[in-house]
Amino acid sequence: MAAVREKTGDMVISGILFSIGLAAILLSRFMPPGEFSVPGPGFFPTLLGTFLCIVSGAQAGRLMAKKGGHSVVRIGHPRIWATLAALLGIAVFFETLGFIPVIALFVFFGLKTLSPLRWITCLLIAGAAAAGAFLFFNTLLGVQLPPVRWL
Amino acid sequence: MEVLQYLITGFSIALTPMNLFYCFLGCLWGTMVGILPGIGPLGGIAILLPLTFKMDPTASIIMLSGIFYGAMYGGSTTSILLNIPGEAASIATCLDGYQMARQGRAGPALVVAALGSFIGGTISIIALMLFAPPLAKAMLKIGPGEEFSLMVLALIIMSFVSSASVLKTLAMILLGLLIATVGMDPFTAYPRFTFGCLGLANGIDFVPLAIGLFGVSEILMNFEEMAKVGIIKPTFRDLLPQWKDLRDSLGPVSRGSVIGIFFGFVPGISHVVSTFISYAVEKKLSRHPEEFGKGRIEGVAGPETANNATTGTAMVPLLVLGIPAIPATALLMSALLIHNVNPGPQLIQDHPAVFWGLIASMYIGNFMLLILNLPLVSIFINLLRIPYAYLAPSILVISIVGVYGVNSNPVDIILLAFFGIIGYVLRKFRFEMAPLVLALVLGDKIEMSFRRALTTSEGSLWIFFKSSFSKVFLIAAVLILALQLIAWLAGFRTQEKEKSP
Repeated sequence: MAAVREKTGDMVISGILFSIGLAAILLSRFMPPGEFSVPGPGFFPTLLGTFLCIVSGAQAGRLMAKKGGHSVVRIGHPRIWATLAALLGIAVFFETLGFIPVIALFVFFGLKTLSPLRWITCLLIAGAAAAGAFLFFNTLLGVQLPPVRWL
Repeated sequence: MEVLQYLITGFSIALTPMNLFYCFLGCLWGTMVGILPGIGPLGGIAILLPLTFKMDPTASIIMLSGIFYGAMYGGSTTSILLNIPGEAASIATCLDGYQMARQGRAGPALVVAALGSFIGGTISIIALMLFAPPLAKAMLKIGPGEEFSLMVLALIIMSFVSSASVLKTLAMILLGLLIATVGMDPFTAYPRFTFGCLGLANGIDFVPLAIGLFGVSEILMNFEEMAKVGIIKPTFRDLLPQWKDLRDSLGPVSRGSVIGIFFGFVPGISHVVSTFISYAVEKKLSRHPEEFGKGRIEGVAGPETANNATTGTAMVPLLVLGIPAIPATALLMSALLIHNVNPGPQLIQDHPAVFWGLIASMYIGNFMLLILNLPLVSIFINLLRIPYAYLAPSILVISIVGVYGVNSNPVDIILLAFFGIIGYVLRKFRFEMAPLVLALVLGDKIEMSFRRALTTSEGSLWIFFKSSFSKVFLIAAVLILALQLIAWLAGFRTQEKEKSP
C-alpha cells in the first residue's frame, strides 16, 4: 500500500479541481454566452467554473497556510487493484464470452484471492453463482444479458 | 374524506401482486443492506436502481422507497447485537442497545427498536399523507426565483451538516453541478462539454456514477479492513420483552415520533440529527440520566423511533418541492425522472397513482418490516456470518448487472470502475460523495430556474429578493455560510495561537 501525506493528497485533489474549473471556464468561451437577461449555454458553466476555481484555490491556500499536517493516508491495497483489473476484464470480455463464463471467472478469481477455499470449491461456487445470477436477473427480472457466446 | 378516498385507491394499486412483490423485495433488500455494515441505504438503492428502469414508475418507486425505510429498520440490528451501526442514523442506538445485549437483554432491545420503528414510521406516513397535498397546492404558486433560492438553500444546508470540511463539501457541490452541465443545454439543445462524442449528448450516465461512487468505493474501502466480528445471536424466546420495558418505552416512542417527523422536513440532516436529539431529550427527561450509555431501554426506543419517523416526512420535500432533502431521496428522484415523472408540486395532480400508491405501499412495507425484523431477526443475523470474501463479489456482480442492464453497453462497466476508484480516493481524503450526487441530481433544475428567473426579470437579480419566500431562503443560506466562515476563522485563529511560542 502506498503512503501519501494527507496534506499532499489534499493539495493534488485541490489542484485537479482547480484545473477542472479552469477548463470549464475556457471551454465555455466557445459556447454562446447570451446576455445577462437571456443567459446562453455558456453562462452557467462559466459561473460554476469560476466558483470551483475560487473554492479549490481557497482550499489550496488554506493547506499552504496550515502548519504540520503530517498524517499519512494509506491507499491502494493490492485487493483494490485486483478488483479494478477484474472489472476492466469483465468489461472487455462481457460481450465476447457472455455473462455466465465472465461472471463465473470473476467470482472464482474473487474467491481465490479473498478466501482460503480450495480451487475446486471456488470453481463450483463460481459456476453455481453465475448460473443463479443469470436465472435471477435475466429470467426473473428481465434484464437483457448475453448468456454464453460460444454455444 | 377526500384523502381517505385517495388512500383507498392507493391501496388498490399497492396491493396488486406485482407491487406487493416489489415492496417486499425492497423491504428485504433494505433490511439486508441495513444489517450489513458498509453498504447502507445509499449503496443499496444505487445498486438496484438500474433494475427499476423497465418497471412501471409506481412499482419502481415502491421498491426503492422500501430499500430506504427498510435500511432504517435493519440498521438497529447490528447496532444492538454488534455495536456496529449499519448506517449513520443507528449510531445513537449503539450506545445503550449494545450494552443491553451484553447484559443478555438483546431481545427486548430488538423488540422495542422494531416496535418503535413501526410506530414512528407509520405516524410519519400519516404526516406525509396529510401535509403533502396542501403544501403542494401552496407550492404551485412559487416562481423560478423562489425555486432557485430554495435549491441553493438545500445545497448550503448540505455543506453545513456534512462531516467533511466546508470547502471540500462546497467543491463537491460545484463539481456535481458542473458534471450536470455536460450534454445538451436544456434551453437551446447546444452540446456542452461533449467533445463531439454522441454518447455524452444526454450527459454523464447517472447509474455508473452513483453505483461507482457509493457502492464500489464502499467495497474498495472495506477491502482494507476485512475484520471478523463476534455475534450475539438471540433465540425467539429471548425476544419477549417484559411489561416494564414496554411501559418505559411508551414516552420515548411518542417523543421520538414527534422529533423525527419534525426533522424529516429539514433538508440534509433529518436522520442522524433526529436520533441524537431524541437521545439527548430522553437522557434529560430521565430520572436516571447516569444510567444512559449503560443499557437503558429509553436510549434505544427514542432514537430508533425518531430515525424511522423521519422517513415519511423526508419524502415531503422530494414529492412536493422536487428537492431531495437527503442523498437517499436524491436517488429516488433520479428514478422518478428516468420514468418521466417530475417530482414537484404537480406530482400529486399529474401522477396520483405514483403518489398514493407509494403512500399505501409504505403502510404495507412498514408492516412487512415488522414481521421481517422480529421473528426473523435470528435468520437475518446470519448474514453477518457470511465472510466479506463471499459478500464482496456478490455485491459487485449485482452492481455490474445493474450498470450493464441500462444500456447493454460494456463501457458502462469501465465507467463503474472509474467512478469507483475516484470515489475511493476522494473518500480516503475525507471528501463526501453525497453532496456531489445531490448537486448532480439538482443541477439541471437549478440551472433552469436560475436562467428562467433572469429571463423573466430581464436580467434583474432583484427577482431573487422580490418575494418573502425567496428572501427567507436566501437569507438563511447566507447566514449558514457566514456561520461556517466565522467558525472556520475562529478555529484557524485558535490553531495559530496554539502554534505560536
